[in-house]
Formats: sequence, structure tokens, C-alpha cells
Amino acid sequence: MRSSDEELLAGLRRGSRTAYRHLLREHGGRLLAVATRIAGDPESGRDALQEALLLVVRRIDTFEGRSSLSTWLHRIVVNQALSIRRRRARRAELPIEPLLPSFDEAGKRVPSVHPSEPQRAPEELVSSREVREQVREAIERLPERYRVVLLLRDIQDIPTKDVAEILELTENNVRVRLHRARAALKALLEPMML
Amino acid sequence: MRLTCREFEGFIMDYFDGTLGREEHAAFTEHLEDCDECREYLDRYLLAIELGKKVFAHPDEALPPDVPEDLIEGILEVLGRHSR
Repeated sequence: MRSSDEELLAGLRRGSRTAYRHLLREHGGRLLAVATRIAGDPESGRDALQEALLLVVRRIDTFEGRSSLSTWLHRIVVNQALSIRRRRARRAELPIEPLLPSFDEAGKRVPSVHPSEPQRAPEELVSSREVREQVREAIERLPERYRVVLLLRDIQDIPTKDVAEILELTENNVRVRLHRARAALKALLEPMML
Repeated sequence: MRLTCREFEGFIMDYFDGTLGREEHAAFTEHLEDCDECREYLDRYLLAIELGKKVFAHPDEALPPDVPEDLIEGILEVLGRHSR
């Protein structure tokens, strides 16, 4: 463990307000971003961060240092954000299977139902508020196990190894879920790409 | 080594992670050159990733890099009440 983490940890275990303030200044920005993306909106994100910090107070004595302090904090925040999202019953998730690519018996790809036409540039697409809303909505509707991996890996840019530790999955499992999430997102966004 | 589209699909993550062996990498790029459906699929797959990234990086969607001070103080207040 880094010496700065050890110092911080000792303060957290003493219940030092200064240590908790330092934790929020040091790690809080990234944790709040993760909480907001996963919970689905800024207010839920703030609530998730606050609830997560309450859990940190209760659980800090059980932190054994098997992962980094940052990973441990991210894990608590992700779980709390998911819990808030479930409580607030956001949009229903879509089943993943119909969104995944399909192949015929010979292993040949079944082409998309959307005709081949020149694609619009991503810069042009995201300049539209409506398109941005549709993209966020599409991600919202991915099943949780895939959505969370996509948000942590592609949107928050957290390395695969760290995502695996946060979610307590193998790296391979993260990669499989990420690929499926991306493939499903592609299927959902395809109509707007043309 | 010639790939079916299904096998090509299974290699996509490894291709972008740079973990394909030499022979697999050659087979992947050969299939990409020969197969219109897979080329179109991959273009749109990459565009979907890029769209997701760009949407959340847009100024209207971007989040502050730090926790606002009023939220820090609010959380510390709640933690103080619960630890009494």
C-alpha cells in the first residue's frame, strides 16, 4: 500500500474529519463521477456517494488492504449507486440476446437490417442534444451487468484490470461483458448513425 | 487460416487489445478485407464506442473533476451525526 494511503487509512480508522475531507478531495471527484454515471443522474450520484461514505465509516476496520484503497472505495460506490438506481426504478432494461450479432449455420454474419449508407461523423451526431439523449438512453437500457462494465471501462476510462478488481470479476469476464455491451450499444444506436 | 464471421467476432477484443498471435492477426485482417458485412459491422461497433465517449465528454454532460465543497461539507456533517 502507498504510504499516503496508509496515512489516510489511519486517519479514517480514527474517525478523523480531516481524513474524511482529504479522502473526498483526493478520491471524491472520480468516485462522484462513477456514482453519477451508474446511478443515472447527478442527484442520485450525490446520494450514492454520501451513502457510500457512511458505509466506509462502518466498514473501514474491515479493510484488509487486499486491493488498493481506491479500488475498495470504488467497489462500495458502485454497489451503492446500483442500489440507488434499483430503488428508483429507472427505465426497464432490454434483454441482451436480440441485440447481439447473429450468424448462419456456416458462421456467416447475418447482415444488419439497416442499409449500408454513408455514416454521419460522430462530431456531427453529438452536437445534437436529441442524439446525446438517445445515446444516454440506449446505455441506460443495457442490462446492468453489461452497462456497468461499459460505463467504467469506456466512459470512465478505468483500466480493465481495475474494473475487474472493483467488480470482483476476472479480466476475461470483464472483456466478454464489455464486448457484448458494445455490440448491443451498436445495435441500439445503428438507426441514428445513418 | 481462414476465419468465419463468427470466429472474426470472437477475435475483436483481442485485436484491439493487441493480444492476437501473428497468424490470428493476419487471418483477422484478411477477413476484414474480404468481408463487407464484418467491415461494416466493425465500423459501426467502433462508431458506437466513440459516440458513447463523445456524449459523456460533451460540455453539457461532463462532470466536475472535484467534489463541490458544499457537498463535501454536507457529507462530513452527515458522517458526524452518524458517528456520534
